[in-house]
Amino acid sequence: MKRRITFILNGEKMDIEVSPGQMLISLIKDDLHLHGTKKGCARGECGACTVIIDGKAVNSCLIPALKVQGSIVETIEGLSTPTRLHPLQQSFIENGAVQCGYCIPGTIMSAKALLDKKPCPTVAEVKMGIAGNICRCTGYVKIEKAILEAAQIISNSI
Amino acid sequence: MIQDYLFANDTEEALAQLYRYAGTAMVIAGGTDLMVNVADLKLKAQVLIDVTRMEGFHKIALKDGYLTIGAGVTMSEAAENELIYAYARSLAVAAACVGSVQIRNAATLGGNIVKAQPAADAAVMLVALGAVISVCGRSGKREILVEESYAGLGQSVVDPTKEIVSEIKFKALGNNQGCAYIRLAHRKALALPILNVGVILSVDERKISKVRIVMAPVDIKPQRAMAAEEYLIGKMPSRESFRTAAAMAIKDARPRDSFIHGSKEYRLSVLPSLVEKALLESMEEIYKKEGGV
Repeated sequence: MKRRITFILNGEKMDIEVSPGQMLISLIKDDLHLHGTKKGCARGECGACTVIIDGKAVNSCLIPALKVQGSIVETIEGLSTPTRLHPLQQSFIENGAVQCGYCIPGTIMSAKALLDKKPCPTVAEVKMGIAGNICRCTGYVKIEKAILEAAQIISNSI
Repeated sequence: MIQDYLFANDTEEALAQLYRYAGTAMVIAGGTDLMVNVADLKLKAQVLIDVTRMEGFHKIALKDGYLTIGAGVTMSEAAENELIYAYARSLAVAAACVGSVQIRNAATLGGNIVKAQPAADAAVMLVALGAVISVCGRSGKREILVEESYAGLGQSVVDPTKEIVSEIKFKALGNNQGCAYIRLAHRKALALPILNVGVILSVDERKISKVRIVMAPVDIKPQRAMAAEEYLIGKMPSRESFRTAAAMAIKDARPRDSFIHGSKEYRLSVLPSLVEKALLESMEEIYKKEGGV
């Protein structure tokens, strides 16, 4: 039996019917056509599908869509405006932290959840924050640097 | 195939829903394991009853010397909670070892126990702490030691098609008590433990009055190092006594050769070092509490 849920997605109110066995990633990609969030392992091990629910990074491949009833959900599409990238996105580009790019939306969402909570993280905190995101291209060094630089840019702009 | 997904507001409602679906419904908490079963088409339940929004399910409180933790408390909540950190520090440490940030934000302590995996980080430490779970069923509430909640490999005595774990409870550690949780794994995130050890240690009048050493995965459930514990009672806490006890830990360990966890020989040779380290760390915590070293 399909059930109707309401939640906020990237600042916009959603009112949509979902199947009881449907995962959040399927709702985001298949029904809402937001293809920034990526599906990797589909079992919570790669982090490519990371989105933020009520301020917390989660694997959207493991979250039943019905769980987001009444929640605030952020995906990679919610970060930038048509004219301006989010500092994390800008910093990833400038630091060469993106190669094939498949893991990047998930990694950036993990980084955003971290910076929202800890605006000036230590290197160790950055490493812990993205430990659930696997990148097979970059070796993580540039990703860590990009996040630390973005943190500085965000704190300087406040 | 999941036919329906319902949220329960309290245990009574959840139990009524489970009863109504007579075995075809099952409790879901964080879902981090359950949803992998769904993806693998291994889940038999047709209806899922979500208990994470139930009243009191995220509550952590200290009362009459006992720490009570709602079964829906997530690993992240446990890892960052001040009461847990103050009165059972190693439970916070163990919770922080689970999976990744994303997993910890969803996975619950209750789920960690009911999934009954032999080396589940938080459950191993809860066995060391002598924790008890409250299990609610149609015929009322019963209390079970986490240590006695294992019915087989990955099998709990709690039936998630009939029962709900509402709360976890254990005695808050006093100033004469220390604890430790040590984990050996291939990497620091998203890796199952090669070995993990949880310890609580009590010292009265300079002698060890109580000790619980729990090791995993060395059996189908978290395993107490009984011989080592017995040896330590009444002894002075020292490097020598800890080392001797640690060497005895392998008497109660029966690890298998495992592709994921490593060979039996390797694990039996490393285990004493981990037990020794955990005992030393527990003792260091007691010193710190006493305002000493």
